[in-house]
Amino acid sequence: MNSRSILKALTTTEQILNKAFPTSWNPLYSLGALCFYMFWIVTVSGLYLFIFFQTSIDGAWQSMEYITEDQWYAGGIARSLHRYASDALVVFVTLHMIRELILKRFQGARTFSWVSGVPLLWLMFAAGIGGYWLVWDERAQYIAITTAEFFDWINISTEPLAFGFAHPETLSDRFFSLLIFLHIGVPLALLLGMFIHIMRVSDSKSNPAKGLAIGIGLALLALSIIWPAESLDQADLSRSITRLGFDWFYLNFYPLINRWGAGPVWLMLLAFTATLVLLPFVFEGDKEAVAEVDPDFCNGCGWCYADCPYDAIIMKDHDYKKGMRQAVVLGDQCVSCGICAGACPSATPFKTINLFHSGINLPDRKIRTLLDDTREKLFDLTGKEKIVIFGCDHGTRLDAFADDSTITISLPCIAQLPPSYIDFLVKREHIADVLLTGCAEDNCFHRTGNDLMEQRVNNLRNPHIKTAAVRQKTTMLWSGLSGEKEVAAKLAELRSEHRARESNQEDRVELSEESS
Amino acid sequence: MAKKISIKMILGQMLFYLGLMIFIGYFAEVPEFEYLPDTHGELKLIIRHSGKLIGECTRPDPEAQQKLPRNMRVPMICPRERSPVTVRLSLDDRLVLDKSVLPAGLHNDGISAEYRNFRVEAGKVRITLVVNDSQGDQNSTYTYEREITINPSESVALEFNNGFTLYQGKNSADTNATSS
Repeated sequence: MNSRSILKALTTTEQILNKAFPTSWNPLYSLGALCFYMFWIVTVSGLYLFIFFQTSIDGAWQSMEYITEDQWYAGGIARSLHRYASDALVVFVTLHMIRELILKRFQGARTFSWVSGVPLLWLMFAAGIGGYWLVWDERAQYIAITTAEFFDWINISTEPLAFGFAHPETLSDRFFSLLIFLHIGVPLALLLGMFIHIMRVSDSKSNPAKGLAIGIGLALLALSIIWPAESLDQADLSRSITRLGFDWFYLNFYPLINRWGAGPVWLMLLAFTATLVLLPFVFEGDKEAVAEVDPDFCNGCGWCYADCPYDAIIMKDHDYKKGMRQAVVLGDQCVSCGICAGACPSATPFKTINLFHSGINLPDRKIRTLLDDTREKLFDLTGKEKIVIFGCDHGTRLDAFADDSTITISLPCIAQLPPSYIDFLVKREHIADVLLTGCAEDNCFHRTGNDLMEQRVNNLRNPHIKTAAVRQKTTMLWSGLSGEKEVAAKLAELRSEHRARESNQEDRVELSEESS
Repeated sequence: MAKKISIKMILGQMLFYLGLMIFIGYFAEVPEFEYLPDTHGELKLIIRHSGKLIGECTRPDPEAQQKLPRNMRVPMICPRERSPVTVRLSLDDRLVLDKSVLPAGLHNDGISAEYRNFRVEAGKVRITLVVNDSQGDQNSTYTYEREITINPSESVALEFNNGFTLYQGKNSADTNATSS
């Protein structure tokens, strides 16, 4: 299975979900936000449990029994929500990681977010596994002993930690005070890590759409009522654990510690962690030249600064124009999406051609070249009603749609297209229709390209299409990677409209000839 | 662009949430994990003992002492390094552990600590634990020998900490140290 077919499988799954969910609710488009949401559910339910929890050997188990049995309607549900939301967090984090990997969103400007996400995995597991200890049932006993044996392998203390769980007399109540401290401290560190993780992402989405949040919340609540989380028998260090119900989300590698010993499992986990950390540096990808500012043509409007989805542009005083501002590109954070070039008001083809320069541009894919390519392709068209399809490198492949009346142009991101180009093509080149495609709705590879383009076309954002007439001739179709059928259908629709228009015109000509 | 939610979509969403509930609910508890067969118990060995100091204490040279400031003069100079503790454990005459446990600390002056967990078939088992804390000096050998009955899924702990202690059951601590 090559990377293209894996990508296809992912987009097919996303499209299936798009049939059931509005795109803004699609769980696969909101995995990061769902992780935050699960974290908050765990936090709120955990705070409630903390009120009744007792930090002693007998008190821990007994208080959990009280919460689960005597107070099933509140504490019991809170406990179940606490567990299931923690489990869901592992599911969403895993899917989030796999999805970003498939979409190659771990390189370049995204390296920081990817690498800063790796320690969060350790913190998440530490927080989750630590929670199981607090219940002090047989599962906790198994986890305590195995974890102690696991850490003893790296000799972190003078005496093995496992001494503490060897027989009933070695355990003290103070241990539970330490545990609760860790169970609050580690999630706090996780929260700080989550904040750092999204620090470089402008307008990061840390809340899922309301409809999705309600749906997932109700599903977890229903699960908590139908199948409440319960403790096993109280831990007894004079007894061995034989078999037990197992949380495979958090404890999946524990059986390996028992089977292989701690050493190989440490090696495996560290190798996995190192692989994740090194991934962006090993597979750097073909990095295109980053955007460049031409101070001669930068008027300091700040539109590129406002639109950059990676916070890769800052504003400073102009190099030599007094009282004016100027954009500056932060090369490390620029992913060469070209959205800034599409936002630049200087990038208008209506200027005298010799003065046609953009204030900000991608050196390898200049706005000027885009216009030249478009006009060159248009020159070869023989059809009457011409259609121009603009797409993006991460969306539907457009080559197959080119014919004698249609040209296709692919951009790094659809929002690289300055709206003035659409005005120009319709007014000067007499294009019948402009079709804008790209990534699937709410799933833009460059995060905000589709939204920005939509706002620019609909006159909600600068720069925008100038006239309603041009706007009418502009169609947007966020078809995504596997959207060939949708594009074909839309193209057929546009052509049938052309044919209808032509036949109306012919009818009118005939009528006028008859009347004359 | 807001999309109108149809009945079909609602059903689709319910199917998704149901799948999520089943997936999370199931793997949060099932399948069961077997850590130890029902027919077995565990014997945990704890060694927590400081080996004898290596070398003798010596009296310092009085002349050299006189040259030192008062606060730095000592009556005896003793070595810090301790001997490793050798541990040999046999279960029913089968040697299951033979290890020299090094003292902790950068100067090998700390405690020798070792923890081991053995799975044993339930029933009678003869335990023989021989500990030496002075580089094989036979006068510093401690021996524990006893036949005990380990019940299915019972955890028994045998500790050597300046003497042997067997922990079996919740409250029974049996001390039995033999030095030979």
